[in-house]
Amino acid sequence: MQIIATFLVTATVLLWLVCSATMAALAFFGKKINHLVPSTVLFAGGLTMLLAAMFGWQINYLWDAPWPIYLAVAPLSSHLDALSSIFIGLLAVVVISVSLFSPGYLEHLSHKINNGCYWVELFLFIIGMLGLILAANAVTFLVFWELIALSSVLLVVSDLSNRQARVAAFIYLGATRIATGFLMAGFLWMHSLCQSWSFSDWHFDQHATLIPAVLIVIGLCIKAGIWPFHDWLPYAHPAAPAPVSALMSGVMIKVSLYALIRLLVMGGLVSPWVSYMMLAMGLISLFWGILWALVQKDLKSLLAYCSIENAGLILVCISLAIICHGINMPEIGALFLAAAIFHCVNHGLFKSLLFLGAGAIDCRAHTRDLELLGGLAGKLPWTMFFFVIGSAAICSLPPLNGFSSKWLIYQSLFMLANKFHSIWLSGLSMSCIAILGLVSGMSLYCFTKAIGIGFLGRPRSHAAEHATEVTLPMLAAQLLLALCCVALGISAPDWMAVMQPACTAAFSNAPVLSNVYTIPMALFAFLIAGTSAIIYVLWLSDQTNNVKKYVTWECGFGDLTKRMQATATGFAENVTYTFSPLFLYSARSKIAGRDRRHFPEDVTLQVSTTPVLASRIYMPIVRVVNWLGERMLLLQAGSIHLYLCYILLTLVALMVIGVLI
Amino acid sequence: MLVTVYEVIGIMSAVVAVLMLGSRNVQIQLSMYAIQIWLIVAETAFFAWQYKQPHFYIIALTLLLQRAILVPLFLHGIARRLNVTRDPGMIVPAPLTMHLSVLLFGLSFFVGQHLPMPSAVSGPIVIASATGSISHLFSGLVMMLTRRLALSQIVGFLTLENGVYLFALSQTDGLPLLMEMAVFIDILGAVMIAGVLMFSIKKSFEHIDVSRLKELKH
Amino acid sequence: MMAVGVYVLFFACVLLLPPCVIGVIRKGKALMQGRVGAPLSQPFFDLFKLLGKDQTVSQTTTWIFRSSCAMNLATTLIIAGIVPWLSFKPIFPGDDLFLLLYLLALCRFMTILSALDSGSPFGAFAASREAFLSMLVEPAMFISLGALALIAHSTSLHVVFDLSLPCSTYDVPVWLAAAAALFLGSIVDLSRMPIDDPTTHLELTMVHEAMIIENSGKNLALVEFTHFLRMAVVYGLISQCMMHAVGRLVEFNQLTAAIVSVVSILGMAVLTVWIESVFVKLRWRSTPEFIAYAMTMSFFATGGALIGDMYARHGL
Repeated sequence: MQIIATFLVTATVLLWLVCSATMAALAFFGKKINHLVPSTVLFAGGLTMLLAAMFGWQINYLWDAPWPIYLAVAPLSSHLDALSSIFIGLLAVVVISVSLFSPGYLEHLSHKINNGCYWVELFLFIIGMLGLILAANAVTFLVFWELIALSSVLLVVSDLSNRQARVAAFIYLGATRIATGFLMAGFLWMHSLCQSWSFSDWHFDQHATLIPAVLIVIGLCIKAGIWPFHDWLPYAHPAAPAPVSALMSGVMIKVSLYALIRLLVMGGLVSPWVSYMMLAMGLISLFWGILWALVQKDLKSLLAYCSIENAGLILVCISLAIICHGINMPEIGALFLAAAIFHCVNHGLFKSLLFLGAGAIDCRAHTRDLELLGGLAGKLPWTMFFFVIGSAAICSLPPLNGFSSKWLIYQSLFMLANKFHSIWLSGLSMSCIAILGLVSGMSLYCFTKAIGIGFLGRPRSHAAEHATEVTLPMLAAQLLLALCCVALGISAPDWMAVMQPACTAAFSNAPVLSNVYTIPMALFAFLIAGTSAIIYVLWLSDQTNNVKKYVTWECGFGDLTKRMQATATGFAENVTYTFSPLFLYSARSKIAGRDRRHFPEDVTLQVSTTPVLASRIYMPIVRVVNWLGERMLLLQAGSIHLYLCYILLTLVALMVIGVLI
Repeated sequence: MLVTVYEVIGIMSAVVAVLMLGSRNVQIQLSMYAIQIWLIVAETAFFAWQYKQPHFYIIALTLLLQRAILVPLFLHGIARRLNVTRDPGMIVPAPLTMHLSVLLFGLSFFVGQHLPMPSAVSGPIVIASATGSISHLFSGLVMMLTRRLALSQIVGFLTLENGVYLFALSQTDGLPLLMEMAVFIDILGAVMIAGVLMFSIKKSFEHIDVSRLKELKH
Repeated sequence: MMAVGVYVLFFACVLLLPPCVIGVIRKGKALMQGRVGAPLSQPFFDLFKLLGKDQTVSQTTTWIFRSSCAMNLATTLIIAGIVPWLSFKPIFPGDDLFLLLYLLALCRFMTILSALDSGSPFGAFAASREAFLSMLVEPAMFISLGALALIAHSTSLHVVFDLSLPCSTYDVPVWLAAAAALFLGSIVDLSRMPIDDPTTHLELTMVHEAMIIENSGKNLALVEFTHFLRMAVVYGLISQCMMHAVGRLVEFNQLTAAIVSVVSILGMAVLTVWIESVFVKLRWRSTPEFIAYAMTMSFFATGGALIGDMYARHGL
């Protein structure tokens, strides 16, 4: 079993490395790339990864790479167990759909992107994520972390002619450097405390490990897009090509949260400082993410902010698992951990589906701006159908997979409140339930806006009017993810058994998880589908000759034009008005005409929302750093004598310090 | 566990005080204040009946005449003559002040838990009535903090005074008649004077918005 | 034999009670306005008439519009099956509190999408208003029902609303506060006054009516019946809360409970008549203030449930 799994993983990695080397060589020599070859290689690799995940789920295997491969201070060691194989499975499914989607998508971008570079970077990105999930010591982790960071920055800036993409990549690069800095500091500190690089030797239950834990949390949260470190995410995720956004949003965020689970939950963190801090950060990201998602006009920015919300939700579950561990309630802690892992998987699936759908729209309508879309239901019917399934999943509507994981989270919160460990904790759980309720209402608002303005109604631009359906492989990619969403929703109780080993590894007396799930989901799915079908067949479809097609109700003024529809800004205006202090909202209107009051001829409305953190905290910090940098420029006067003077001064200072200490 | 009627009324009155904070309409605020006073009158009468202290009937009657009938009518009349219907409110919108007041209701529960127990009654009875009265206090204070209209400040002050009265009633088995009468006359006088003052403020400044009092500095 | 009778009676109530409720509301409003009004059985006649009419469908609509009313009716029938809105309702499996709230959200999702489907500006702004109001009401519904679940220590609805469970004195204020919160939330959910006037003809003031403005014929019959059924179920839930609150003083045997539950639904309809005739419709920007009252009552319900349980554990 172990040999099969090892073989599969190594084979996949080698295959991709070979393929990417070939791509690099071809790109260097300027030859044209046929998309079929790398896409098939990626597809095959995805299948072998899925097989590896299925085999790896039953084992707990730690292996080091053989002698020539050594990372300076520690071996390249990998750990395949139930927890990692769940995430490898998620990565595999998303990789398979990305491999199907990419060729068609790249046709649309072919004149702007260097295809060879794209495929090389994509392979390196996926290898990095695979290595990170399997990493068993700190050095391996950091190597693959850097690989992910650098390859994804290059992927974000694939389209070099686009200024927005360049700015986004720069911001993302800065954020990921800071994240690596924090992580490295935390890892070095833990190494000096535990005298080992291996994760299994790191125990976080002592008081001395508090600060390294905080450093590691901050580093991982920057990469996961948690408030207040979320600012880079709405720049980077929309600017990347759609399949890459799907991978970044669907899997890369989850990989950071997986690392959090692996290090802190498996490592036995019990400190209430860290866990309550994580809980607060998670709750604020939850609300803040969906609030800003509501007011976006760009479809991919909307999805990116929604990822912040879900990352916050997973962090809330992880922190509550740690809190339960600390107050000695392992059965509820196991439930929270299972809910966190399940939501990771589900969110990865439906967010990738939504990003691929957005990519399909971008491909055909040549814009992501909701104000210029519309009427795509007739033009891209299958894409719309899959997008509706993805949106229903993200709004946690039964019987899809979003509801399954959300239900598990609600149930865990209720059980925590019901246990009455203390009135404060029960009150906190009930407040979390209330906040989750508000957030789910907001995500319903957000996604009905995305579907309604983007797909329904009449086309608002010329490009939207002339869009056509995407190619069959792109549809197959979306179909695969949609089927996974439906399947995970209906068979949710069986999935609890999949997560059982991971929870038992973290908490000693975890309950049998499949008994917790008391809703017969398959029953509901059949009931809803069956009843709808019956009602449809019996009552509605037998009178097609009695149905008259006419224009939408227009109060008798003649047909409505494409401008007489809701806009994305208008649809969300209720929220921007009510929460205007949070948005720093300003709306300026100008009405002009000979008689402005009664016969206006020109109406201009300018609305603006400003992100609070970015404008009030990050921009001033950036300005201070720039100012300091300019002052430092004075030190580099260009004179050789000055530089020699610096060297002399440093030498003298070092000698003095060496003598004194 | 036995819960007597007047704890229930005390809590209901506190709930009405919290709900009063949610509205910016002056008429609704005054009506809710009137409901509170009627509940407190019922509670005083019940207290008098249960503890066989007839002077509390007199207190209840005075409360009824003065604060359930006279003061609301007086304030209604003033509101009509000053032509105010809506209070613009402070920085915090009205619903959030109501939620804040609910949180303070919870705080008053915890304060009530740690109060020393009086001799005659025990346990949750005292905590429930202490909760009600302390939360009246908090609601009145929040109302005075977050409203701009002088009329709302008066209603907040009256709610605060309700809280003090309820606290005295529940924790001390009732104050002597003379003290209660003195307090009532003071309140009556305060309300009358405040009403007259509001007229002259309105005549001089054309508004009764207390946040603009700082214009007096120049 | 008894069980079959109960099932038959329940399905009869599902089919017949909702139009009765709306008939009572319309007749009551007419009487309060000094008119004679349509007979109590008028909603039945209206539904039959609509079923026989032709449909006019907008050219811009898609499969979402055509399937949303069937999907909504199916989901509302499932909701009527799992919510214990009548005392004699047979218990179906899978009745969970959070499932109920998300099935309601599923109905809302399909309704909003079908409103946006026709590209009509009326449907669009009504849909945005409905989404906004329901977003604000969700937390109130979640924690008021959550408070009731805390008392019963279970999220399964038939356990929460079981009349044979002992009800201590601490629970009565929780049931009352939850009933108040649910009632205020139901005004928003069912789009009644003072949030939305169901009899208005001005599209700019509509919330619910403008969302269903494009439906006609059989579609409209299904949509209307779904709305009536939802109204009956929500009123039934609130009257069950009131019965629980009263249950501390009065013991209900099965027959009394059954009759009281049906009569109290009609009683809730009469209360709605009074509220709709006395109160004016709120300005749109003031509606969040109304919802704040529902939030406050649900906070009181949860606080009461937590404090009551604290006392129960410490034996007071």
